[in-house]
Amino acid sequence: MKRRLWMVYATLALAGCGDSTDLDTFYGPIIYDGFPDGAAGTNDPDNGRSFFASSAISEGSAYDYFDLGAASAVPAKAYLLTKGGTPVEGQYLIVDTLPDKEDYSPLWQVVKVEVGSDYEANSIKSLETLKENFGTAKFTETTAVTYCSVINPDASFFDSAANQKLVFYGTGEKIGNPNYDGANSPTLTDADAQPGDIVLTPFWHKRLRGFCYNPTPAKSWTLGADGSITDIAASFEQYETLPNDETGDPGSSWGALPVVGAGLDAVTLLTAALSATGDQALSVSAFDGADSYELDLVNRPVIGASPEALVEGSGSGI
Amino acid sequence: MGRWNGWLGWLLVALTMFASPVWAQTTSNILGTAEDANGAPVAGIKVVLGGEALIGGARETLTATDGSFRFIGLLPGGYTVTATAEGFRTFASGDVYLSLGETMDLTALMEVKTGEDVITTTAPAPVVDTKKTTMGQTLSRSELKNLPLPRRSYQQATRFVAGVDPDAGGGNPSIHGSSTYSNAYLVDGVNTTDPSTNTFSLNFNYDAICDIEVQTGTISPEYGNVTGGVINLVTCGGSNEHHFDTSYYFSNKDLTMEDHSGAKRDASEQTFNVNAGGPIIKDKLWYYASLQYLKTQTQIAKLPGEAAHPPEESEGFYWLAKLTGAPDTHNRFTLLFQGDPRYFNNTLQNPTVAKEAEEHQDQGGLLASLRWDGLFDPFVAKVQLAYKSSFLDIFPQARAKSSSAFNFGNSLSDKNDFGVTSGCLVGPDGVNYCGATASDVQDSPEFGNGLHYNLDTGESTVGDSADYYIIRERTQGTASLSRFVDSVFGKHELKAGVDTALMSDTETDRYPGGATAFLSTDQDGDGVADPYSARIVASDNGALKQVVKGNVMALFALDNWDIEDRIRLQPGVRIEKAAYDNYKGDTVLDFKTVAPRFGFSADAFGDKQTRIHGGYGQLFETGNLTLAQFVGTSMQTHRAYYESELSGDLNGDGIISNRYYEDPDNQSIRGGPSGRKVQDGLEPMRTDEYQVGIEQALSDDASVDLTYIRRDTVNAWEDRGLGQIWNQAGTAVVGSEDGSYSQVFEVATIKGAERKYEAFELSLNKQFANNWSMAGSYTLSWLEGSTVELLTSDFDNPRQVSYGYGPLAADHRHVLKMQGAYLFPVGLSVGASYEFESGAPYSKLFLNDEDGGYTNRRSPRGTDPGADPNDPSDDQDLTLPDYTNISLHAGYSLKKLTGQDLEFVANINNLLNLQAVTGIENTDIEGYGLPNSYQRPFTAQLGVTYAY
Repeated sequence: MKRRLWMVYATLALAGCGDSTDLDTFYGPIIYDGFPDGAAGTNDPDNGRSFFASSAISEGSAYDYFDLGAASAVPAKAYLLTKGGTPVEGQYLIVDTLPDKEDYSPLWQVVKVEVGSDYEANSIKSLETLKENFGTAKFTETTAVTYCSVINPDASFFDSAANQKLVFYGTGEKIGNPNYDGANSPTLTDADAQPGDIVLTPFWHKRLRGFCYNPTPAKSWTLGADGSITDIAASFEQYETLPNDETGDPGSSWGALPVVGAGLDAVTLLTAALSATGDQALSVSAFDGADSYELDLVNRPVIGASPEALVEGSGSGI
Repeated sequence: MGRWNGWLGWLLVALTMFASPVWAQTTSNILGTAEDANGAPVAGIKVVLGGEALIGGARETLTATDGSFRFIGLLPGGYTVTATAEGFRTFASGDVYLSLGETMDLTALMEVKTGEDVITTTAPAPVVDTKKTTMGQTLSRSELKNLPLPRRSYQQATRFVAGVDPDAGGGNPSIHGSSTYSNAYLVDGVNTTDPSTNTFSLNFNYDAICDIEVQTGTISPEYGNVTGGVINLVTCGGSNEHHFDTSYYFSNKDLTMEDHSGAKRDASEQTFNVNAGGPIIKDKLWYYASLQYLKTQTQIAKLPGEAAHPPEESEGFYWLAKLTGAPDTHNRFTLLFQGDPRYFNNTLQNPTVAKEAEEHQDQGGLLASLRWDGLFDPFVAKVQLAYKSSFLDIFPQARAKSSSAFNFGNSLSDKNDFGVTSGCLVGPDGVNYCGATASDVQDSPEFGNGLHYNLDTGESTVGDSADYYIIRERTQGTASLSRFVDSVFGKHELKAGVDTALMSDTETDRYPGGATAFLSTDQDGDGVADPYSARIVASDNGALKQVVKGNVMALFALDNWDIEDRIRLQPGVRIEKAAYDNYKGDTVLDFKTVAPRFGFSADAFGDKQTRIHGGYGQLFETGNLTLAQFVGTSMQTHRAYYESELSGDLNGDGIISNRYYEDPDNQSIRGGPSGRKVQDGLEPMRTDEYQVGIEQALSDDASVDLTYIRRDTVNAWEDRGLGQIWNQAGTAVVGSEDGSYSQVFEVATIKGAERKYEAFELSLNKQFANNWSMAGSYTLSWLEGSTVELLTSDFDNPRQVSYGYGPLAADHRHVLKMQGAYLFPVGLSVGASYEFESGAPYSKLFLNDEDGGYTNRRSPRGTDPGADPNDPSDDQDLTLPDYTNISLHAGYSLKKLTGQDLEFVANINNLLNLQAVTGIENTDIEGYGLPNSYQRPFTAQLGVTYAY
């Protein structure tokens, strides 16, 4: 009888030792003390800005634009969780690289991962856990490529001298309304986004939540067998000059913006937004590094309401 | 700790259906049986109880038809039991010692009279107490006498008990994973727990303590507002013999070794005790009195680059007076008074602060208790009325005044006072007033002149009056009635009672209606001292004196149910109602709880060699006055800058004014009206406790016990920050819910404000016999959660909450304790203790730009985020080094040589002079990761005791 009792107790003891988890219970935000040099997006968390907007003048019209920087044209991988081939509703994409890593690119090859029917959205937040639970056999590499440039999530405003546009998290979370006047709402959510505002795309990276920006969410491209991205050049509206610039020369300091097609080692994406006319549609130019003029907002700010203001090194442009 | 297996939980719940909690009383019982040589019960035997602890005269009873007898409602102490009957030899028990709450199972062996008249049984009580459902240990004075302690105090003595982390919170232990504010402290049944902080509220004459009962699990329904453990002091009392004892202990710098810095600390301690007790009227009225004088000098360790800290000095006078009266064998009265005034100087020991600017602290209190015990077998009644007060007086308080035109929502006085200042007050004169906590109420007659620092001129003046004064009071009444019932499915002691208390906390000058200025040395976080910035916090209550109040009413019932003398079941329940009012008189906390508790103890094989025990208990904390103080006040924070020659003309007015200005560009104001509130429907803090164990006798005087205990705590006392929108990393506020940028702190039931504790505890107990005794324990435990203390900042910032869960600071995975003593026949006694704790976790903290403090994490609690904060795979667990301490005690008594009970004593703490690191700089500043506190070095203490 004594032995039986001890066995029962030992069983209890062993049971108390517990098991291990298959899910990512912890989560946190991606944090940048300093956003990586040369990476897409900008970094000014002290002033709450994620994107520096600058203005340019062309044909008497002002344009706001922001530079998403240069990055590798070799796509990284983004993992899309599916149930029966359909994306899991509410589940963020899972990635495993960031702008300060060599294999980072704002271009993402979509890898589908089929999960079980009882999977709960966002209970897995890392590639490591994804592999532990489903194994690479459940991974299906697709040829779909999308663009989404990782930005510093600590900065939330797209600051413009001409018109303050907002950055929404794309998660339903509130942001402060900088135009709060006591009568309107002090907070805004994604539903309040206006044309020209930026709605970010959340993703998981090693159980940490980050955000990226895709100026043209509906657009995607195909990854060729040789690793090249086909049709990318055609997919963007490409400008050798800014829109409405009939002369093709936006100004003395602007220069020409040569456009190069797909399959390059690097792409630099320039997003321009027309603000003076109220047309907020975004457009993108792609160009390579050979003859490109990369906008350097720190050292070569472009500001002002008239061509005469386009003087190198004058002011911050913000 | 891993996941919790669901089936294990259900199994434990099922087990606890047969179970109950602690046998926790303030008296003890002897339940006995008279048996013949064949083990058959003998009825009609006359049994007489005597002994030095028995007041009111000897008690007599006759054994029942089943041979049973009982003596109930006994004070802890020494007793004798004799049994006589015609034709039988007289049975005499010899001296037996009853601990607090003990139910002694005594068998009187009645042999047929043949020649010898008396059989004296000297065998110790069974080593396995099969009636015990308590988890914990009772430390007797005789045991403690031969064991070394770092300091002779009841707080330190708890370190010998398994499951107790004595160093978790300045004398307030963490017990089985609890917070340090979750224990109950009692003296002879009087709840002396601080009503505001739920910590200990008194110091006590160490030599006047006869027993220290430490309950570490299965808390009795008699105790409420506790989720940790119960520490119950049993004071010594008088007797029919006059007793006198005295002792003197001292240590000084010459009896210490060098610490880690190679220097000796300027520390000393002297304690003088005198205690006397005896009869005023024999068998009717006893007295006991005690006085302890204490004089100490302590010095904190010097860190590299620091100047030596001037030592703190203190004097204390702990006194006690006790009368015990019993007009007959049925009524007993106890009147107790105790006080513990103590006076500290130079409490902060800041090496850069002038001594006159240093803080003084007076503290102490009064305990008064009147108790009646009615012993009318089968009834036992108790009524106890008590009053406990404690005060704290901190002075002089530095005051700051400036002509700066601050205006914080009309809360700042027109005098432009800064109000209370705290933190480092580094003025333009370059003088570091670091450590000054200041109030600016200079025009109030309620306050004297503290250290007044004029921020305009840099001048300071020193006064001598008190500025910050607290008095906390608890007036309480308890009453209980027990009824012993035989032969209803076994034997029962049915007990029910009521427990009431009125509590108050009066704090003067906590928030004097002005503002609080936190003057930072590094406001911009660049690691360079920056004396010319400030963060101003204003409160809007406008009160110089705050009074918060609380009341509690509880009913409890339990049954000590013995079945076939093999199983004890203890079902019980505590129903409690507690309410607390804030300083405005608004009831801010109002709880009603029903806490079921069950426990069991089974004599597994009927041989009193194997005990299976366990229990389930629901423990609630139903509030405290600190919560009441918190709710209702509000704060506002502004940033300011100081304009000086050094800083230049910051505001561009062409004048360097040498004064503070509110920074118009930094309006991230926190707080505001109703900045602190309580959530509607707030739930009380709750712990569910499960435990099961087995104890096995190894010999007549030794046993080993293995117990599994698990505690799940939810609804920890926490507040959360509302009203502000934080950036993703939680380092800055980027928006406001209502446009005001106010931050509201709400005491709330927060999902995730929890703790989980799980432990396997292996204990060994070798009773004193053959000249030696030993006890020890090994505890393998896991403690994780998101909060461990009261109203922390862990939930203030919603973006940081996800980082808050992890191993808590009291999570010592392995703890080994051993202590024992050997008494040589020649009068020499030697005792030793050994402690090992594996290192506790800590976290790396980062600057929060919003509040200027290092409150942010970038990786889960207990870790460093590593080189890449965005790659959790390089997170590193942070733990302090392991801790080992060996201490020795030696005593030599001249009693055998001279007949006089004179003993010379030596105690050594940290025999090996180990230099374990006990604290590490954990903030993201220069010096991160470097030790900032160390184990106390080798310290010897010499003493002499005399008893008559």
